[in-house]
Amino acid sequence: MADEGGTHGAPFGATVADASDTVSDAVLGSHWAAISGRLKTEVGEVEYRTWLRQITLGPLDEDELVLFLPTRFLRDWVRGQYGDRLQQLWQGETGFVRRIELQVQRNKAVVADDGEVMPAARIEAVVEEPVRAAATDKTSDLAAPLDPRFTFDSFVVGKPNEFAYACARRVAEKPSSPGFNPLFLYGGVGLGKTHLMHAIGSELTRGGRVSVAYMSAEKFMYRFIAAIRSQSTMEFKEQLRSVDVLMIDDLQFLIGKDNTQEEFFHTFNALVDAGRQIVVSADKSPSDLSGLEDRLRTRLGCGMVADIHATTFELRISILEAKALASGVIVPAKVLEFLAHKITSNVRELEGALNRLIAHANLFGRPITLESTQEVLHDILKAHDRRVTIEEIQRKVAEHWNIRLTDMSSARRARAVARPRQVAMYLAKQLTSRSLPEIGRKFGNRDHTTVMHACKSIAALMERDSAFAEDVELMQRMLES
Amino acid sequence: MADAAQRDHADAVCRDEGTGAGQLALPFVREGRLRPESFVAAPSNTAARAWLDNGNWPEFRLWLWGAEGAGKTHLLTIWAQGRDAAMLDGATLSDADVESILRMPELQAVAVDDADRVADGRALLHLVNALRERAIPLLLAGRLPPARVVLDPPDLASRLRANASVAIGPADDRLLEALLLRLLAEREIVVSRPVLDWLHRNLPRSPAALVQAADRLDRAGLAAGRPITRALARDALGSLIAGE
Amino acid sequence: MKLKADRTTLIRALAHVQSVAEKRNTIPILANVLLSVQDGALRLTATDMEIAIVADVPAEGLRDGSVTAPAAVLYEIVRKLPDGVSVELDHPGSDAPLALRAGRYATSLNALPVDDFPAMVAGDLPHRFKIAASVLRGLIDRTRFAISTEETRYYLNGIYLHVAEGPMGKVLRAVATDGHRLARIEADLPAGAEGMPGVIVPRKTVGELRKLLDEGSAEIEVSLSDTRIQFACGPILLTSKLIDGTFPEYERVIPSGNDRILRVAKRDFSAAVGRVAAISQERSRPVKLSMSRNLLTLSAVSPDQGMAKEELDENSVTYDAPPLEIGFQARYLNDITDQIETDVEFAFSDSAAPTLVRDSATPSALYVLMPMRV
Repeated sequence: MADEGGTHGAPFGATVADASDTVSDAVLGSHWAAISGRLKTEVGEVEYRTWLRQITLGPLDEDELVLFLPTRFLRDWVRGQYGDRLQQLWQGETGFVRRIELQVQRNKAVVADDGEVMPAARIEAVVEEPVRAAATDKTSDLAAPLDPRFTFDSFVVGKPNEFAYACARRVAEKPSSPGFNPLFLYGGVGLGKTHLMHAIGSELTRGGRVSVAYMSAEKFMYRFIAAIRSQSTMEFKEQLRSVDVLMIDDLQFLIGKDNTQEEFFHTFNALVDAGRQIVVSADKSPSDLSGLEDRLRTRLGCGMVADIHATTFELRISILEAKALASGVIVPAKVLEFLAHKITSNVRELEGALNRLIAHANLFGRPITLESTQEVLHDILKAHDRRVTIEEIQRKVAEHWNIRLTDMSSARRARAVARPRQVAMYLAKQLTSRSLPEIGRKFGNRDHTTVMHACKSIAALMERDSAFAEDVELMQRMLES
Repeated sequence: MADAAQRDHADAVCRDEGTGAGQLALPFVREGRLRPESFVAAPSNTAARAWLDNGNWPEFRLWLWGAEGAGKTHLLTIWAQGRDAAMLDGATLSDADVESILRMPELQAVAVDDADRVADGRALLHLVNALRERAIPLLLAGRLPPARVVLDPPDLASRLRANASVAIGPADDRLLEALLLRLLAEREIVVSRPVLDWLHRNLPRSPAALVQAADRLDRAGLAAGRPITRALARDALGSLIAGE
Repeated sequence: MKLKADRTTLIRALAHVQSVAEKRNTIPILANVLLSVQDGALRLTATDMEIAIVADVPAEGLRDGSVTAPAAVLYEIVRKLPDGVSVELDHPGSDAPLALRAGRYATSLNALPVDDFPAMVAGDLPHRFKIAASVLRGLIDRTRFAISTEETRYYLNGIYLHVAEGPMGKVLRAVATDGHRLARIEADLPAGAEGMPGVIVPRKTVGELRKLLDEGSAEIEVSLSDTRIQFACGPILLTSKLIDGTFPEYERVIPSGNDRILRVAKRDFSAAVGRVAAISQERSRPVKLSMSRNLLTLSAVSPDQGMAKEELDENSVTYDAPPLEIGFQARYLNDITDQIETDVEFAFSDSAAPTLVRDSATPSALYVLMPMRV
């Protein structure tokens, strides 16, 4: 899509010797506000929000103003589509900006447009409303309801998904444009294919003029089979072929289901021939979907094929920021960074992790901290449960308090030796499922009452001495991780 | 599993020369009924109970996990009864089950036990998607968290990994004591206080070990035809008891 | 209270009544029998708080009133009186002892206040049916040997009486087990028993009931609730608490796929078991059965005496499965074969699995026996 056009905007002759270096950011800002207002009216709200909202002001160098965009794709797109107009507007508005330069600046992506800051300290329950079927009029019994949470606004754009996003946007604005029909979205699980399809559907049905049917390929098959069983295939076909936009999710499900593929192929042709829009998603590109009929693969690939790549750290941060803001729960930046580092698989799991944190915070009325994050998400953060052995505990404790390992089972009763030994017994009880007599045996054949006494003493000491408690808890965490 | 059962059975053979050495016991199975009132509430399951009491699960799904014997099935059953939920077994779950569940006119909620042993991942995925679409709560239980279960297809794995999940933690002393009493009561095993104390002290401190111990004691006592004394218990529990 | 009764009539009733009375003497009043005369009729009552027996005895009531006296002593005295004699019992009232006169014999017995005698309340008994004494006798005789005597297994200390689904419809079933063997016998479901709960009838009650069944009543009326059961056998009413326990799911231990079938004549088999086991000093007396085609070898080993064995050939044995060796306690084998008329049918799986035993002549009875390791 990106037009690799000139690296600079069209040259503008006259140079005005204005004191550009005295122009303050505030002045630039007020100009930008005026310009973006005009842009909004010119290109329309949707267009503006999609592309132009993400522009931020950069430095003014003589008569050349730098405008930042968060990704290369966006930069190229904006330059190609709006570059000239932007330059004209700046020239007209200011008189001192002659040229604009579009550059990529990462980590500047802004998300929410209302900019409202949630009050701190108070955590409100975020209750998910049950999904209500969005209006899909006559096809509602055929198609799945659209999830109202999946809109273009709630889709966080970044480098890995910007192309697919742009294509989806385009289809939502102008269905059945040449070159965009069918739109084939592909990528790994949980990267946002379904989100984009729902967004297209919501956008198109908002006006109520367009009928949209969205369903998973699996559902398509079940419906088709049910129609065959009830001898209502004609109705099924008619219903399907009456929609303006048909979206089929997870097409790979049809691999090996020859009859359903056949039916889909015919539906596909009928709709495309009638100038209707088709959107399809799959886990692979059309050419890699072996198991689908060749003619279907060919047809799937003849519109726009857009892939969604694995997330980048930047995108993950952006997604988390957006989600956190929307939830109304305060999530410290440290926690977001931690999640973005740790959960790299896909967007769904990333959002899932954040949802879990938020739900946990709501349920127990506690703020989200890095510590609570590690606690709540320990199952996904730790690859497997480790079984700690008593020997391991003894070794670690001996190292930590700098005593000999043999002293764990020696008869020495000097405090410097006895206290760490008691700590090790305490940890053995906390971290293993061994019985007390067995723990006692591992500590030089001591009686279980000795172990019991050690556990009580250490617990009591931890109660009194917070520094000591921290020390022991640190030890415990080290052994657990 | 079969090996363990055989070994248990062999262990339960009475070795006491005084009374019918080598007599085997009839393989009665005595299981407790999972009644709400018999669930032992403890700090280790506070979080799990809170999650189950609270209906607001992200994506209407919750995965409950914990070690064998931790009380997953018990909690799941209580939840399912309270919610009038359909109960399914993950290991045998099939497309036909899912279809028939989804056809139920007033489906309130669904509980899937042993979800970590699911054989037909497609069927489970179908269920997961259909219930999400209809905003019907789904509780899944397994021994491991979703992140550590191998699930296929990848879409299912990803959905369940993105799930809210809550663990039943390691049991504390009070819970273990109450659990042992409950397990013995369910099997109608009469044990004197000193023997009970001895068991509590010497058995591994895990629910699974206690379940195994209660079964072995039951069978050994039956095989021997005698009350359960400390000597009989030591003999019957064998390797379960520390250091033997 | 004053009455006259025929010794023979009195002793029959007293035999049952004193048997129920508590013998351990922990609560003295429970060792007593309550005698009461009302409107000229005599009634005897005894209880140990678990079981209560009430017997109406034909007698000549001379003065209404009631008294309690030591059951065992009264029984011993009356038993030693000559047949045909008339017994006179006289209690003038308050703290006076009970005077007994028969012919030239006279004695007095210490009486305890009637008010202290505990009454066992049967409560509401919503389920009621009649059953032939012979049928009830069959249910008891074929199962009681398997009742557990291990007191801590309280839920096995009785016969589990319940309605079950048989192949031909609902049946009344009696089951007993001690964990080593199990006996199951069924009878036609009596009218009125359909809705009864499954109940565990305690061993002592079974024993008392069994004695009553020989008294000549052709039909017994059974009434029960979740906690009590009552048997009306002519003039005698036996009421008992039920065992408050859960009988195990016994169906799960009855094997269904055992395909190694041994048929053996009961008389030859049980005699051979007795002879072979005689050598053993152990209480369990293990007997090994070794089978090959139409040949059964029974053997036992004793460390002191050596070995004993006996062969039963095709004259009394049919066996047509792969060879098998399996051990059982001699007593258990005999307990089961004692229930069997002429031919015993064993169905084995392997030497460590439950064995099914049936009586070829009585298909309604079934026994399961666990082997020993020998």
